[in-house]
Amino acid sequence: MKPLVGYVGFIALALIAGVLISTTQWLTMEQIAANQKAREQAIVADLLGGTSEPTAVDRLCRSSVRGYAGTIELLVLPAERPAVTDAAHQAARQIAAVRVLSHRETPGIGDFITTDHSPWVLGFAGLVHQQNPHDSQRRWDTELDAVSGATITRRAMIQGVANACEARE
Amino acid sequence: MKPENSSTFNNAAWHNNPAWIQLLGLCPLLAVSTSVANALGLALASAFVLTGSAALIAATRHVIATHLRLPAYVLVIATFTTCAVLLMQAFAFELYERIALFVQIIVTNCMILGRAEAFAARNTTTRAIVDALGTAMGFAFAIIILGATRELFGAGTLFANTRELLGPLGSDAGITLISQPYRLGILRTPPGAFVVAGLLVALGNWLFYKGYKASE
Repeated sequence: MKPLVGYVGFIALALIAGVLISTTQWLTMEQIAANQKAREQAIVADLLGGTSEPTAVDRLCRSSVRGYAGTIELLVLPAERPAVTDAAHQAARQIAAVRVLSHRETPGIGDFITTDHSPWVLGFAGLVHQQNPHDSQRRWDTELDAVSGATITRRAMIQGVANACEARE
Repeated sequence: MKPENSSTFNNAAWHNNPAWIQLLGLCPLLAVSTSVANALGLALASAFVLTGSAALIAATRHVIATHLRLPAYVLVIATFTTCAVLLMQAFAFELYERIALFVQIIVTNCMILGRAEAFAARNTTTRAIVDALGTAMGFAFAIIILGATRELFGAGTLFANTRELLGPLGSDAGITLISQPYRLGILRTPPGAFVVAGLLVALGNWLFYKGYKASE
């Protein structure tokens, strides 16, 4: 074999690899997008499950936060905002429900944030947003269940939800 | 099948069984074998990557410079892994969501790289494909037995969630065989995987591979 052939062959192999990947991606693109959309709709339906009011979907807040291994996408449903009185103001800052849309946390360790693996995320229901996200995070840290081995994931979740609440204020 | 092909297949699947004899590819083997559905999914994805890359590596073995062969293997294996990921996302989305990370790390599976270097790069394309199919069979055999054992004794069911992969042939809930108080929850955790894998390797050695040394 002439030395040059070995290099040209390698480059040709790289081209074949590129063609294979692009063809597969082109063929599967639509189906994957449809699957992801269906999953998102299922999560939203699950999130709205407890509330019957039709306006709930307008109150949904999206939030993304850096977890242990990539971005965690969250959906936060704040409680309905009633007419403003002192007691009601408190209620208005409550969280109704939180769900994770997508994440890349370690399987078996950081995936407790989805309802498939653990009811942990349901603990956000009823928590009250404090004066600022920092206070909320400190308070919720004591109010939510601890998860051993997943400190960063848990903190990221708390931070993401607090940011979503703050953005809504 | 030609006799030489059938002996290649037997060697790869049985005498050099990647999980029982070579103890290769153990990370996904242990991590994903919590149920038959997960095990089957990973076995199919591994088989696809193994066969595709063996074929391409064998077909191009004369035109790749010797010192470029390892980068070439990695390139080819990464290509087929990416394709497997895309195909699973399109056609077995729920299953992919559960075992996503382990499908992605097929790329680092030493079973595949090992077969590429030891066999595919030195043999004709046909023989390389036969060997890859044999290895894939052996891996599937091991991981499905492990998955079935862990699912049966850990979760009490068999074939749960197989609908995601097999469509109408599979079932969602599976067959419940062991009721709640008699299940061994530890078998579903990573330490449980080591215990079951160790026992199965011991059992396999005792029953089939007594006094047996792995051939080349």
